Amino acid sequence: MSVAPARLLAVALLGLAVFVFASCGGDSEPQPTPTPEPVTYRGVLIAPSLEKPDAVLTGTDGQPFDLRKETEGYLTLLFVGYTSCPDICPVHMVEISRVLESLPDEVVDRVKVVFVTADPERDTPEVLGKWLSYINPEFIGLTGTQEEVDAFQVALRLNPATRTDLGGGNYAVNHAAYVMAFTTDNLSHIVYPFGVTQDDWRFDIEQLALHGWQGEDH
Amino acid sequence: MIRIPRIRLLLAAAATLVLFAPACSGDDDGASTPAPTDTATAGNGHDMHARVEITDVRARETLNDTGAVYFTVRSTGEADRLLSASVDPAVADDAQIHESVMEGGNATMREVDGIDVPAGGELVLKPGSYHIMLLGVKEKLSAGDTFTLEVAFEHSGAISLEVTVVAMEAAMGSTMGH
Repeated sequence: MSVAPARLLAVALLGLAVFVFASCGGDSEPQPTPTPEPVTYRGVLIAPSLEKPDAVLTGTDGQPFDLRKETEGYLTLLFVGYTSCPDICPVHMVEISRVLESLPDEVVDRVKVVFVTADPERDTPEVLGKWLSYINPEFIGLTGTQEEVDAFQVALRLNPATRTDLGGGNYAVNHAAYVMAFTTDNLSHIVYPFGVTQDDWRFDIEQLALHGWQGEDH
Repeated sequence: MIRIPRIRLLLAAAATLVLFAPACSGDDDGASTPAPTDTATAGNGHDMHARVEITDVRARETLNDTGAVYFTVRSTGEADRLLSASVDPAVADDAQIHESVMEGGNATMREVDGIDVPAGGELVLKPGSYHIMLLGVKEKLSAGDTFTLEVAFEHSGAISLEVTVVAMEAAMGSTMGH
């Protein structure tokens, strides 16, 4: 993980670009500013990129939530999991929350974190809302009917989550272990497997939030 | 499992990255609770048959009635096998040995009926891998809380562990603190 001089230069130029943009701003809806060179991200690039599902699910307030409409213009970090998850789901969410706490408002204000349950039977809006409130009250929790949640996963090129019986009425849900990052182009070009460090999260979230997707394939 | 071309390859690359994570993760959060380093030995060290030493015993804080306990088992000689775990019903309904298996970016969980501890080697229970899952946790476990977990080995017999609850991200392990 050596830092090439070219990357340092790119970061310096980026800073300059942001400064120039900011000084001639006055726009209340800041748009991502392109970088002069492609950014080398820390996440895992995927090809072809994923489209942000055009879906209406149910929020933790029990009301319909139009994903595209509500997250338009934001870097949207999306994870499909379940609240009875032993560690992958809560650790991912807590790590992202810690990273956001360490980033400036300028970045955080451009980010939305969405947790979609793959276990709507147990994860009612109330259960989901309570769980997320312990992690970060700003995070968005979505549920729906089993059919809606299954279709949502198919739209993300996932197989609908299956269950492992644990006895006594308990079960585990087998789900995707990575977080998808949708930039303002409504595409996820990059995903984050379990175990990503906070430093890597911090770098990519800042880049993606401020500058949109600036990878090689854009 | 998933139908994203190239992702298996990419995730393999990512796995390599993860391997290096302990060495390069930043240490900018002094508030994290360090993983405890208590050591438990079978039969309080008096058992002639003890073959294991257990360290880094910790549970992640809970957000609902699901919990997870992690530790490292070191073989002090011959091989052994972790067979089961049990917890006071006042803490949780059940404690089960599970393994999270990562396949093509998917996490699949399975209950296992035992895990080998290789002779002279170690068995590491950690997030995203082997863990003791607590089902039906009675009261919220918060950082600093402690409780007792009993684990049984094929040769070393029953060992009582004092488990310390740590913050979610601290559960990743003492070498992966942030």
